Amino acid sequence: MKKRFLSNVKLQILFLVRNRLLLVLAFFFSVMPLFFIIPFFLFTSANLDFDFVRTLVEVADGLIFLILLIAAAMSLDHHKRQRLLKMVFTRPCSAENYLAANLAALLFVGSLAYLLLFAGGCAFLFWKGVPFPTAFPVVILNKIFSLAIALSWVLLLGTFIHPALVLMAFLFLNEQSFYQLAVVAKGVAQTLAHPWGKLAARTVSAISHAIYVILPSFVPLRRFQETLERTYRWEDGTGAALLYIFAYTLATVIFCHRTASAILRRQEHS
Amino acid sequence: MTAVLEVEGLRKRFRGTLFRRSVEALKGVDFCVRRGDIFGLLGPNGAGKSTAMYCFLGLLRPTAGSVRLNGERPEIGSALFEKVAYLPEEPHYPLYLTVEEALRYYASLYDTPIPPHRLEAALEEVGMAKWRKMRLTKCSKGMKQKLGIAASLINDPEVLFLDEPTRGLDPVIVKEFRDILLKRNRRGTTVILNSHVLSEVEMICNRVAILNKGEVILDGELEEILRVGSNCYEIRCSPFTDPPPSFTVLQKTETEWKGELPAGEIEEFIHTLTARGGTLFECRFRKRTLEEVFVERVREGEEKTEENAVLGTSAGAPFASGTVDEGEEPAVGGSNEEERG
Repeated sequence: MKKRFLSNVKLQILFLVRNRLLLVLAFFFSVMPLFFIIPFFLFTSANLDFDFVRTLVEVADGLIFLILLIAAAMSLDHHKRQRLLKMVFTRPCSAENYLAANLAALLFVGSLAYLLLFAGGCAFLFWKGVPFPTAFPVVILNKIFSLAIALSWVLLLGTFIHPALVLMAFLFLNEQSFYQLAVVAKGVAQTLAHPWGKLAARTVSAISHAIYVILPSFVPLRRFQETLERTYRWEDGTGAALLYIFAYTLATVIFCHRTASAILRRQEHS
Repeated sequence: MTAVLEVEGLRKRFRGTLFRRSVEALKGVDFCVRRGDIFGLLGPNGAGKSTAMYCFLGLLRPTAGSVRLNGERPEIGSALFEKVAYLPEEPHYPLYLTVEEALRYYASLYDTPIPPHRLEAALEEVGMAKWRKMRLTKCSKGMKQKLGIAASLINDPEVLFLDEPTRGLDPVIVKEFRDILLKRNRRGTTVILNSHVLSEVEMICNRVAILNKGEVILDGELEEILRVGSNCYEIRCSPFTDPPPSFTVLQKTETEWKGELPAGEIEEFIHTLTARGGTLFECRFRKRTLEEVFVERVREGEEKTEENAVLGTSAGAPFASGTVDEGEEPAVGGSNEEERG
């Protein structure tokens, strides 16, 4: 079991590092943050140095997130479209093992990138003599948790829809979109005078709200995380919040993995 | 003998979509493969051979009927595959791997550890050792097929499913592969083979089933199948005066005649030959070739379907059963290997 899992992880990592499209994207995305660095070097102050690290983390986070989501969608689609799963599933390797390894490989690469970012940030702050922000590791850990949720969600969607649609669904049909739709529909329902229009708006609002509740949130404690990412300071409740986020991440990842495995098992691989 | 694969009433219908009609690929397939068999599943294009094989392996879910592989219902990725191997018609590999990496990867999916020297030997056996570092993107179709063969034999399987295994291989490798299969079979591996190459099937299989339009139209021991329907003896004898008119001489030399004789005339022929001082060198019941049987059965099936269509009966009505029972005697007495004189 462990041997199979590690082999599948290795396979996925080889897919990531030998995929030219992904390498080009990774190169392009790693060059992009450099443009954000230049203005910071024009001025020097402890505040600006900290802002620099914060901006760098934000920009790099977006890019790591994007590239790994593309990689997740591409990896599963590639292996399904090329009928590679037929060769895997006619050996004693379950869909659960295969998908878990897929997620683990992507998460490993993502975590490595975040750790590099963290190390770079720490080195920069040390060099500039800026006091170490106490919650910097928590910020990085949060990012890894968010990535784990997003990757497992993309892998779940990827088992039954095209990768382009997966990314579109990820970008536009996420829990935030449905939350906003529910709020807008509720507002519309309050302003409309016509009873049928009111009913329709209320129905849309209720459905959107239900979908919002069902869909996983990539940022489970939004307000806490926003504050944390602004201050990088360890405050009361940070530990508890982190524990909650970890539990939420674990539950979501398990749910997505189980569902994706069940779908993959039920699919026909000819 | 215990059954390795039992198939009962297997049906598979591919559901239609808005623009595509549904297709019934298998219409109630029944047969059984015993341990130690080399079983050939034959049929024209679109007969449902690959679909049947996918159902045997659990890659496709049957619409109806049952499949038992080693007594269990096949489920993808289950422990059942520890001793089962499959070589698809076109092996699909992660093309970003090298030959060696791919073989290592497939070997690592088994619980039983496969030592490196076995991987090495497997690559040597199929002649891919010198290409071990080559990326699969650069490999030819034949090379990929060779790798597929190595990957399917690596776990020393008890049951081996092969879907058109010699496609794209050169004749030398085909011969070597055939020898490997026979060697494995002698060691107890059951082989289930899909193939269009009838000569190949005739050379190695002991049992065959012919599938046409999703139905088994013939199933039985190859020896029996080739014997049934043939009605003459091949005779080799010394020249003699006034041969009976029923004996058709096909080849004449000064010392030997070769010819054919209807099965009913054999006793009278031997009597005449002996009386006229001739010598019988060889008398062999003439077997038909698998190709003859195959073409005849497939055509028969097509005619039946046409007749049904003309008569307005159900197009899906099964053809007359083509099963050859193990105990069934050929149309004339005697063994195909019978030698007299």
